[in-house]
Amino acid sequence: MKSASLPVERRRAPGAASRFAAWPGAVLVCVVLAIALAGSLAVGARFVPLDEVVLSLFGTGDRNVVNIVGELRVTRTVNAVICGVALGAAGVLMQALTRNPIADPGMLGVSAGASFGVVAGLSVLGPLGVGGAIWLALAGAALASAVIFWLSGTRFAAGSPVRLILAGVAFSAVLAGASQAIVLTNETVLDAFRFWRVGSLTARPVDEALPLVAFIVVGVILALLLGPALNLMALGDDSAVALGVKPGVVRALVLVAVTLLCGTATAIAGPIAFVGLVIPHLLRRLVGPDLRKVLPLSLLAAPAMLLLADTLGRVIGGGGEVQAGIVTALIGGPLLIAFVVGKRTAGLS
Amino acid sequence: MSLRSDALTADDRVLRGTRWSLRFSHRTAGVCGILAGALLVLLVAALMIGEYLVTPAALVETLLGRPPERLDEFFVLGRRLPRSLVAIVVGASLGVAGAVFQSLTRNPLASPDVIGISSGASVGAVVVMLVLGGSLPQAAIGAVVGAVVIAGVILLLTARTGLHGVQLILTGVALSAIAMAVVDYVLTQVFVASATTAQTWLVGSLQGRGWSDLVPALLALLLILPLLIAAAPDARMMALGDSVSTALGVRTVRARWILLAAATLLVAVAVATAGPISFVALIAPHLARRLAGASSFLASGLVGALLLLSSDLIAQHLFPAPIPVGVITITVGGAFFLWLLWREGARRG
Repeated sequence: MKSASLPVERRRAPGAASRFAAWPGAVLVCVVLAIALAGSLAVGARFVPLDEVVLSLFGTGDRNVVNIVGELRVTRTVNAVICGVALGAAGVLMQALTRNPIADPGMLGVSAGASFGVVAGLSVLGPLGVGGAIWLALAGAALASAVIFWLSGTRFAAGSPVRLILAGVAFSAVLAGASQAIVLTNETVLDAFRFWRVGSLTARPVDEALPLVAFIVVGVILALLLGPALNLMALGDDSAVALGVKPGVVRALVLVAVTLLCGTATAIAGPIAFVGLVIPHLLRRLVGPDLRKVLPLSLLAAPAMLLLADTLGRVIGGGGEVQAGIVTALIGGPLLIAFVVGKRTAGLS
Repeated sequence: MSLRSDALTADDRVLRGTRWSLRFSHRTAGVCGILAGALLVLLVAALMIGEYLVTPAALVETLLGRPPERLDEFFVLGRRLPRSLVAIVVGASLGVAGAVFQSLTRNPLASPDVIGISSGASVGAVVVMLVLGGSLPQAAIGAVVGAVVIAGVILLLTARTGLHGVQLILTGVALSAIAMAVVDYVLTQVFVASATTAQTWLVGSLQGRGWSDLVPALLALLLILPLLIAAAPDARMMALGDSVSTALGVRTVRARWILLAAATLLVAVAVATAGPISFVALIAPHLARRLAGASSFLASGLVGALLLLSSDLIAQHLFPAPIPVGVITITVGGAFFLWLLWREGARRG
């Protein structure tokens, strides 16, 4: 991994550093994130002007506004930021390691694995609190990502990104079916599970979500450390080995990182797809393929997308709301079709 | 990815009328006979087993209109017979439609549930049932509209970009995701009790299906099946490629429209009757081709009926509590889909 700082790496993408300066992209992403954060706090069934938002964050101002902003909107904003960070970083890692521009942890079955882990665990062990369920979710996510990475390494999916996604979709279906079979036949599990997976940014109060941040922090640090090594692995395993990378170690560590990020995000907000697919794509357009730029930016861009999706859901939902996961699917689905149909991936079949 | 062409085989026999001829092979006819026999045996079993066991003698008496006890009549004629017949009709519709789609697209993975037609039908049905407050027959109309819309989008994308192979499938997956996001949205917006009903419906269930559900589905199958069997020779020619089949005298464009419209209708009615039961339409044509040695719409329909009826029996009786049949088909079918992908990958190597 130390080899990352060698000039050798430049040769991979000649001119990459000069063609894509990182800072304009970084500024743009920061601006979008700021707008998204402000929007998430201000916009909703009742619009709150920004000066009142600031006041209410410090506990002063109109009682009602403090209630709306301080309690409800801060909760979902914090949850969206936490989950966004996790999903964005996981998406970047997944696409880098599988060398697949359309990989997404949600679509590949990692979230379904987390759900399955919880259901299977609950049916064997009996009811557990959120603290226990998180370990089951992580175990399930680990199992699922191990299967996906194994598949991506076999001849079956090598060189065929689309086929890997299809395998992931089918794998998700199997896991979802198995989970349902358990849930529908076991009432205690049904009860506990219904509570556990509400699938919304408002599901967990902040003090319940915050302890889980530790997992995400570890995952993010791991991801940032792995960036340079993954850059080299994009050259192919042989070249990476020649440049001093140990592909086996990197793969295992990525597996750990993706599991921590995805499993925790699923535990907080339920399965949210397409964030991990869209964000790396947009960032590569913006700053080029260098993971040392894409990874840190994804930590800002993905929460921005999730916040915007959540805010948009509140706006188009009128008095009610459209859950963030639904909005991301409505945005991400057409984009996925565009990627598949588009020229860049046309040769991938 | 192309289906094995079977336009010319040695053991074909031809039935000729004054204005028509029907070509069939001994093996296909024999396999269809055996499948029909197996279906009959399974049907008899389905009528007898359950919490209330019906003896063979009582079953015969009941079917002849002289039930020995009121309970026999209630369970056999009121519950089990209509439900089993619905399973047979829906399974057959899905099996036939799957065979048509796979042969039209020359893609062994392109069954209507995988490419999003079933999801489109679900959106239509859910919108009619929950938003417009329609009845089940009206939901069928909504299902047809939804299925036609998705089929149209796929057709458009295919015509515009020459989408093929796994790319077509992935586009369908994305369309499915969009459609299911709409369904999720509708479900979150309505009264909880009807949302729970719709949730069960969305997995695909035969629970509580009676004579009134059977009639429209049976009518659709009986009207469309002869049309498809008449168009089957054209479809077999078209498997050789458009230019070859045109040279052989097939009106390719007309035949494609007929086949597509008929299969889409079958799927829509099946979905409106029993919900989007997944993977039956994918598996049935493969098994039928294995058994009959050639693709046959009729054999595929029979296999579909067998699959769904046996899955429903398993769902009802093999679990601590009865579960929706869709849970069985999604679990088994997802695994089968993975295996198909695996085999395709190995073959392409």
